[in-house]
Amino acid sequence: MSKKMPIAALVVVVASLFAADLARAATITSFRYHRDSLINATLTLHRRDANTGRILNTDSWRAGSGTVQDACNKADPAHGDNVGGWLPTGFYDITRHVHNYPGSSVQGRVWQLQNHACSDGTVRTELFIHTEETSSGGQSCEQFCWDGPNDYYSQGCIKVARAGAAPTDIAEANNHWDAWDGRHGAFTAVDRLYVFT
Amino acid sequence: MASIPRRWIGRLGIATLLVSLGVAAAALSASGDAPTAAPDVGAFAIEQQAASAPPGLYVSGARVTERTKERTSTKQLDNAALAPLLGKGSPVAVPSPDGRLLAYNSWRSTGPTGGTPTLRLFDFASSADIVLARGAQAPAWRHDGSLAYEQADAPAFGSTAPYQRRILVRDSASASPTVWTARADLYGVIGWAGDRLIVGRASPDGQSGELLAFDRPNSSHLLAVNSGLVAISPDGAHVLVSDGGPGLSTPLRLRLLDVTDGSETASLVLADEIGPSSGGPVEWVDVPGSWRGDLVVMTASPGLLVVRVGDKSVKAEQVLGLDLRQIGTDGVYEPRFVDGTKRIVLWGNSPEGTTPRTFQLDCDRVALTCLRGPDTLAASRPAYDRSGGTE
Repeated sequence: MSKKMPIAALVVVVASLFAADLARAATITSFRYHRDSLINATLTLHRRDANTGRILNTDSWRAGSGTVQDACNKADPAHGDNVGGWLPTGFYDITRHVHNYPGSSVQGRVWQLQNHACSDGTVRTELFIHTEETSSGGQSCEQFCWDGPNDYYSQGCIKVARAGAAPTDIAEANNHWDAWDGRHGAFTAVDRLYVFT
Repeated sequence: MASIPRRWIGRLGIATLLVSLGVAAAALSASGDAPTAAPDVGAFAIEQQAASAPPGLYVSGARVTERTKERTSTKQLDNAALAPLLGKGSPVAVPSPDGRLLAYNSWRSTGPTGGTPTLRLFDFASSADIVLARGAQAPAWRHDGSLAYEQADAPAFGSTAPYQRRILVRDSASASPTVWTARADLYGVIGWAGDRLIVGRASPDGQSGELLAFDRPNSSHLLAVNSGLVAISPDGAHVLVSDGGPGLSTPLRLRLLDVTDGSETASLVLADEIGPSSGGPVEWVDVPGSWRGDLVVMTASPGLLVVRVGDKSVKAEQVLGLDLRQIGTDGVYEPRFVDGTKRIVLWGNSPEGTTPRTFQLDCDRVALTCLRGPDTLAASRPAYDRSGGTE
């Protein structure tokens, strides 16, 4: 921060940060995933009043998860297994949200989810909400490119589209999160995704 | 097959398959191993709550059962055989080549998703059951009794830090381990292909990976990227891998790779194969498969896929439907040939949301019948080794 920043400006910055914290504390922003199809399910983002539970804002997008309908089928590339089932039902913590995730297969705007055990105890790991885009949010076919509905398939992650007129689905979800919750980087937001059938 | 438009499949595809599979059936008959008239496509009829006792070695909780045609013997392990970090893509228990020892995965839970995998060793003769290594899993035996496994630097699996492992090999179960990967990474032991160790390495985001063949410590070459390893050939010379599929840049296919250098010996595009019920293509195949003689069986979107592997060919033998709804499961796993190649045993879980149970399916791929066993509380799994080169 510049030493020349006026005191008044500093006060405004601090006050706005404080106000954002207050707003966040008074509301809860969370995802819900209605897992009724592999590639034609619905991801919803709500902002609710923390005290009353009243929904203040909501938006929904088509989404997909998994390649097979077995929540205990864990993709495990380290052991030569690339097929994964859709996400197990239940609550998930969000552990990270970034705009420029630089993974080798998952990049760009992502929400990382906690590990989750399915009904037989198998631990599903490396779970994200994401799309097909580069770490800078662009398109680089073939690997980081939204080609069409088949891109909703995943190894278990929830995927939304990056296609069509702006804002795309991933952009809307990202923009809403930034406006309603605002957290970036690594954090723990408890039970911020609910997967149900 | 890759060049045939899907809209022709209904007319051309079945005819092509029938002709090619007629030839295959004749070859089968000549081998004396299996059936003279294995149908190329079809759906299994399911007999519910049917008892069957296929031969083989199985674990269920802390019990290990060995069944032969003559007798059944059951022994008690000190711990339940469990591998929550491996899922169903790797065996939970692996018998030694001489049949005297069982290396098995166990798990000490510290919470819903946390815990420590521990590799244990059970002696069938003495019933001695010892801890071989903590933070370790995925054992695989070489033909000479050497044992490979992976071990984490920090044994406890937590929720955030990557669970990085090294590959270790013991010349025998009682020998000290030798580190085969100097650096820890997201390595996983898959199995031996003769004297080479097939290892997977996942990307840091866990979404993709590469398959490597290690000749010795810290010396490996790349076999394939972003591929599933269906099976290692019985002679250890080849691996059958899958890649591509919906949402990926290439169509779903099987590739036969030479383990010595990763070169492709043959391939089969699966996207054009017929599903027995829907008439649609095979959309996915899963691992592990079972390779016996020149046949490989694996789970696939229609149910089961059987392919015939020649010196330089991979051909579809059967595409067989399993009605998961009728069977009462979300998915089936770990198909194994037993008693030659006519009989296939596999397992399934009860649907999500119900009490966790498993059941066995004992299927005849010629008669197209499956005996669906009763539900059991303790997860039942086959004990086997994905390794090849032991024959």
